[in-house]
Amino acid sequence: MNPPRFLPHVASITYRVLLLAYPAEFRREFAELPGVFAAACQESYRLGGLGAVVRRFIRALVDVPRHGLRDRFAPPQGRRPDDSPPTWAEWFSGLAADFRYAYRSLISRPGLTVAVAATLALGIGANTAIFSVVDATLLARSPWPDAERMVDLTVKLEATGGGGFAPTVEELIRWRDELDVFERLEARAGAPSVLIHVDGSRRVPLELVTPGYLGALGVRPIMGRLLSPEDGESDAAAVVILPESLWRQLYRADPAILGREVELAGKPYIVVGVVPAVRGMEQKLFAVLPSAGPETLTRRAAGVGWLRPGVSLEAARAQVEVMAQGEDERLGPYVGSLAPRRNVFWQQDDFRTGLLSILVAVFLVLTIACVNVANLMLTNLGRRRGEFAVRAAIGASRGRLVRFVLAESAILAILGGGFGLLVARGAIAAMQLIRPGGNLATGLDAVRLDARVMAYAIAVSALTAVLFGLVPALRRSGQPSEALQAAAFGRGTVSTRLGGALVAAETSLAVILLIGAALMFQNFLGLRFTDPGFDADRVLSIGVGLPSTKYPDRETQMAMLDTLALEITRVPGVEAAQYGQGAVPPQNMAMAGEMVVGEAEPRSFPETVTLLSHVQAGYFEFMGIALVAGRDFVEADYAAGDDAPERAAVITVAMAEKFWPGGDALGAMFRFERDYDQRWNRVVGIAAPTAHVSFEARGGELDLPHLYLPLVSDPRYMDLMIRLRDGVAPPTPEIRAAFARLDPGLPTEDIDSSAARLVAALHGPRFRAALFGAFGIVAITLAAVGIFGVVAHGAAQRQREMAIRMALGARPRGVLRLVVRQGLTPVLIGLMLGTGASLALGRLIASLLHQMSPTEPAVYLATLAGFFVVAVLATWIPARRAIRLDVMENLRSD
Amino acid sequence: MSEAERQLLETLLPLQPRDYLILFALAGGPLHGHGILKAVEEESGGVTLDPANLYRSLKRLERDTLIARSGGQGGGRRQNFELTDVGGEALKAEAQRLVLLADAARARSLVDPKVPA
Repeated sequence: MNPPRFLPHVASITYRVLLLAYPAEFRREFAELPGVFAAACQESYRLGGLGAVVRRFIRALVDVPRHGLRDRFAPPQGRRPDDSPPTWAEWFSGLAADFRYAYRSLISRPGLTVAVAATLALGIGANTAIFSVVDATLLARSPWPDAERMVDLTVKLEATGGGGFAPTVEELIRWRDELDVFERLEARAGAPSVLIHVDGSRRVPLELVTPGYLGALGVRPIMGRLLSPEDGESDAAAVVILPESLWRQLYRADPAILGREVELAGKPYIVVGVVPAVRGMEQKLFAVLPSAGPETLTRRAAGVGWLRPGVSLEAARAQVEVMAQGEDERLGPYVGSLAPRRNVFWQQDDFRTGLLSILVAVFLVLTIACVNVANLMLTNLGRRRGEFAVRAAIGASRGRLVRFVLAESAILAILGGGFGLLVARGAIAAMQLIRPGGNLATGLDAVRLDARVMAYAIAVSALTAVLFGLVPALRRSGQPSEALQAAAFGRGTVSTRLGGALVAAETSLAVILLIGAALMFQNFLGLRFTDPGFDADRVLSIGVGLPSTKYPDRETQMAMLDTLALEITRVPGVEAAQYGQGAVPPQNMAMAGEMVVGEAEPRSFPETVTLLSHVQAGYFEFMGIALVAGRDFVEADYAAGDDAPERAAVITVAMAEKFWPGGDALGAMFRFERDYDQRWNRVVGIAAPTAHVSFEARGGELDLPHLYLPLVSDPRYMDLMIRLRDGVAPPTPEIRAAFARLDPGLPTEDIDSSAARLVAALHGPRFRAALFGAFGIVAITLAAVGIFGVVAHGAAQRQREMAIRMALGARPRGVLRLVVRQGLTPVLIGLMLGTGASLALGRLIASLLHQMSPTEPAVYLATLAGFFVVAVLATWIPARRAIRLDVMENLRSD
Repeated sequence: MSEAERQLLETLLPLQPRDYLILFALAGGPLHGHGILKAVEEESGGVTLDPANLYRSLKRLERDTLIARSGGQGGGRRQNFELTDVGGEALKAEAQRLVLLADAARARSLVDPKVPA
């Protein structure tokens, strides 16, 4: 049986490639090897057929790389004359030796090793943790199809540009027909609802959507179908789509759920489909948003659109702002506003600025850590200079020494990287514990340390290793004989100039961080201890929404509200109950519009942003809000009704100062410039300010003008406020029971104390203050270690000099002062640089501060003074230790 | 054989089985690489041997002066390998050791009596 003709060619080429694993020398020496392999293959084929050839190939595939690589890395001894250049094999085996030596050398200096590894672990850990957060939030890719063309269509007030609320369904439908920038425009509106199921009732969010919405998001039903246009017709039966999680939890994944009826917001719905979790809407039920009838005029829904391919966001915006117009009776005219869906978090300036400033902080910490490590390595290298000189003298090349330092750096970086990952895990867990609230919270839940983050950490470690490895390694220069001489006489002559430069650099970076941290902290404290202005810990509140299916008219609604209030006041511990709209601090509503002040000489204020609350009689006493002048609302203010020529109003001090700077606000008249509401309001009282959440959204203005009007409007959506007796714990279960007695369909989950709402409102600033505070502490610690290291090293080098000075009569105090002064010089330079940089960078965090300038002198002075004290200590301690030497001992040594 | 060669020999014994087979193949006269490969594979009962690995062994045996190379080095020309005196002695010594081991095994009835001595 003759082998195929191609066999020898294939065999010899394959073998040639495999042989690359062997040192080139071996290949040259045995150039016949591919031929031998080819011949052997032919022989095998003759004896054992194809199977034997395959066995031979497998053997070669296993053996050649294995033995070849072993020869490369651990070559047999004594093969080569000494004067030829080193082969790769020797280079690698030398590297292995370097690593072994570096490892032993690190083990022998545990203090330095731990300091460096811990420094790196802190820097790398903080970086990895923050990168994980950024990765899960800022960098998260949108899960939607064609996300790059996807936009959210909301509206903003023409007057102020504020808003970001939804247009009416009727407007959306009109715009969809009129505007040609959208390939597709769907709508969705959230609605609170209660689902009655087998085991009881449960509050679930209901999402009313246009029939095509889910399909456009790429959702495919697990079971049944999605919504169809027919479902939206007025005579169609109401249908609902269940999310998978609810289907599993409430119906134990029963497939018979399809076609079954469930009660939702007091109305029967037929389940037609089950869908998998939709990101951000995991627990939501989906029903059809009515697109016809009178309801479309009042119901508001957010538009979710896809731009036509080729239409730019700017072009679409321009069209939407001109053509999509509408008006709200209270807020005034508005126009459409488009926001890209690329990444939900990028839309929030506040969040973005916060996270980016944290990223900058983290980068600074890592840089400080690297500088610090370079510093530690530098002092260490100085100490080992003698050893290196000896190695150089007996023939080690400079490259070899650099390689050794790099090996040491690499080991430290690996240690630091490993521990850094542990630190990162801890940091992420801590951040999840602090719970910053809002959208950041949902993003944080998704934060996991994944492979990419790990790769990032390793890249940072490697970069760090090279960075700090090279600084000291490249410093080793000059004639070996000089170095050897110095080593022999025990005089390390490493200059401290580079050390000083490093200290100045890390000081300036640490100062930037510390000032940032101090500003954030001061800001948080300012918010934290602001008097809420009312009895926050004695007021509970709960939203009451009466479904129109069950309470069809104003009479039944009012009757229910009265009964409910009465029932609640009977609960033990409750002192009184009141209704209000936008009346629960800190969540007052803001409004904008034109205002006319003064009946005799009207003055107009075109774009006025105020907080507006509708309250009942006796509200200020009920809430414990102080009245600076005038009176509370009384029943008579409500009796007049809508036809009365004027209406009573209470305003805050800030509003009085803004519109009546002369101080004659009490008794003055003002009105809104609106078609439907031009009644005059007479100021009957001036109230002290209360805390409110809009400080986050309104550029930090804490004391917005605030206007209180008598509560007369729509009774379907109310806040029920419950005032407790002094020192009573909130009787939440009893209040829930009272609700359940009257109507088990009313949800009571969000019953909350105002104090808790206030605390929740401070989550953002607190989170940032805590994070920056942690960074600041890490930074100042690292900087102190760096200063300490450089001064201690410098002092140790100059011990002999100091001994001579003292032997010649210098007083220890003078020498101490000399050392401290020299140690502090780079620190002072760093302080100046850092202060300048902070002033320049102030704008970055300005938007995160409330009622505070990013260049607040007091904060700067306090931070710089604090840093200086730490720096003096870090200099003084090693300096003092250095001069406490035995003069004779030092002079005699060597 | 010189005293130095005898001392070297002692450090090399006992031979590894593969080295023994290589020396054994060369006992019949000089061979080129492929010839040794064939012979060793046959002697060891059809085990497939990687040529490069064989050449590593040859190189080592050459370094230990058990075999010598003849014919042109490099350039793809075939090289022949042959036993040196030391190699011949080593082969003999190893063969004797193996016979003694085999006898000892027979004495303990570890070998099927039908296998001829």
